Amino acid sequence: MNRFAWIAAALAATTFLAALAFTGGRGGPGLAPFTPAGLLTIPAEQVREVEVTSGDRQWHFVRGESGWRAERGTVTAGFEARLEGAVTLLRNSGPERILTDAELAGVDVAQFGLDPPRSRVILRGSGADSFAISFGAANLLGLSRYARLDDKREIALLPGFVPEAWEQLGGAP
Amino acid sequence: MSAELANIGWFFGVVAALALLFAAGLTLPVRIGSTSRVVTAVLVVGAALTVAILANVALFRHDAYLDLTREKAFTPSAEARDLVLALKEPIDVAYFYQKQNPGARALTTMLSQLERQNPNFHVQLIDADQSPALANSLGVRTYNSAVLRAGDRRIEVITTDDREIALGLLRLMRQREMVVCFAAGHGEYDIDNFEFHTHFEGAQSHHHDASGLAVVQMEHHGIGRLRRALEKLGLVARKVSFATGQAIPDDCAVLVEANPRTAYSPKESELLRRYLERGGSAMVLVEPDYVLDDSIAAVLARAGVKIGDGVIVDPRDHYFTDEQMIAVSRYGTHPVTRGLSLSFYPGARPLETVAAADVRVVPLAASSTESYIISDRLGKRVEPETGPPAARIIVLASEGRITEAAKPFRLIVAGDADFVSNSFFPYLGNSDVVLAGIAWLTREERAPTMKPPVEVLPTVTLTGAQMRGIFIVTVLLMPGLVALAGVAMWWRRR
Repeated sequence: MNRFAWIAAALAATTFLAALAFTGGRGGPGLAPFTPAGLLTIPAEQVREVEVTSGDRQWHFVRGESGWRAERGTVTAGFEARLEGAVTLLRNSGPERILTDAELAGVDVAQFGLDPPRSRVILRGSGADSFAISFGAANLLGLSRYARLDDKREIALLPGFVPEAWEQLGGAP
Repeated sequence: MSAELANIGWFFGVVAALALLFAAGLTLPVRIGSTSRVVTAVLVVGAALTVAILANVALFRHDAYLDLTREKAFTPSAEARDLVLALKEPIDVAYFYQKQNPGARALTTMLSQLERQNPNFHVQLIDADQSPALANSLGVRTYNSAVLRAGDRRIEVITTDDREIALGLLRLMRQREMVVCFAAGHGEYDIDNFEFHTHFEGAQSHHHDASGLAVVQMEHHGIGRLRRALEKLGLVARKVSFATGQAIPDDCAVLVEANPRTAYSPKESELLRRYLERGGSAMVLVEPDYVLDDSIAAVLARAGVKIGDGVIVDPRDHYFTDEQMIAVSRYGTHPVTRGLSLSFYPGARPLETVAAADVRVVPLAASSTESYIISDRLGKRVEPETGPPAARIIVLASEGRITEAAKPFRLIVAGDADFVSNSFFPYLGNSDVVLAGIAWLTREERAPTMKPPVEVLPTVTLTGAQMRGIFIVTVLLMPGLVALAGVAMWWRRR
């Protein structure tokens, strides 16, 4: 190999090292950026309309220029904050486990309490986006709840505080 | 061990057969006779599929598996296997496991292996998230919970450890409640105390009893670990005091007198004698510094036992460098000593057998033939004070009748008590000695034995020479060489 080839190779190697040195990264403990892990795919600020059914109670909320207003259902003071909190939890809190189709084969799904569901939430975004989820029975420990999206067959185990935030939306215990 | 070897044998046999077939496939002609290429290809594919299926079936049917983890995390313990093999009645196990838990998944593997050991052991592995209704119907309220059922008896064990399941089986198979009574009232070891490694500081060193010492550093000491082990075996531990003159309760399957510190009164000794007369069982553990009064000595003598004075020194078989910490690896032939490994007795007094009618006494553990007795354990004297070196009995078992009309009693006496204390109970074979002794005293020696899991941190034990070697290499030699290299470099450049 002649002299110019060596120089070219050396330059290429240096460029390669420089490229590696100035790209990539390594997240340290506690430095990983937060990413929402919840089932709700619509960004919380884009949610314009919410319908909630919990037992015999129903709510319908619409986000206007001045914030949330209740079109239907009884609410108490501070419901806007509770509603924002419930949407945020649905967006950020991921499922602890998702029971796949294969895992549900041959299993009696009635035991998950989703037919009929204990509570149900429908959210609509600014466009045509919509999201509907049903919450069912609690798991063995009583700390998580079974949940299912309208367009999915899988059943998720969500932390119990997510459905509870929706079920206590009106302010009633 | 033989089962494991058989497993490995089967596994490597199948692998060797497959390798041989592979080599044969490379060597043999692809075309078979005058058959067409298509037919040959079909035959070869068919043969390959057949071999693959046969290999899988062979491995399945011969239960071949290899557990390459250091802790044998996927292999049931020998105790659990023995227990399952000995099952005579059908046992149903429903294990509600959490799929995300690796320990629980490992236990499902082990339960499946155990199920193949004995057709009486039926296992149902249930993903608790998939079957909450079934869990509710059985009253299960938490993950990794095993419901063990035999007929109308049922217990629940929450665990990811196969030995806990085996202990649950042991409890399930026991037909009646067994109470182990611990004598209280003479400053005995406390069964509610879980402190360990109490030691007493003296003028020269530290020890584990208070003989001749001026300063007691810590007064907490107990046998809580023994109590927990007994409860894991399904036994009930209870304190009893007969200093008030009340008889030892009849429901005491065993009376344990562990390290009394004050003397018995003749009346209490009489109560103990009557208890043995009624066919009771007792374990008496006394330390070298305990002074026995004549009344209890007489009761023990009637049972064929004499507790001697002094402390045994064993220059040959001892633990670490302490010649008073007697190590025992050979035992007398007795149901208690079946399968025992090395145990040790920190500061033991000698026992002797005495002639007693209708009583059979068997030495269980003894020091080596080079041992001798000294009276002052802290003294500098190292020569024998009483007679030539000889083996000294440390633990013995006695059974028979106190009187002709009495029911047969069982008794175990040890010239040491702290080997059962929290400080020493979990180490080496000490827990085996105590638990096997209690099993014999409760007349359950034929029942499957099961040592409860005792958590002990893994330790590295170094001899004095090894420690000195490490010190010389790491503290002196390695820094010294670096310094030397620096000096040499300076000298060369100078």
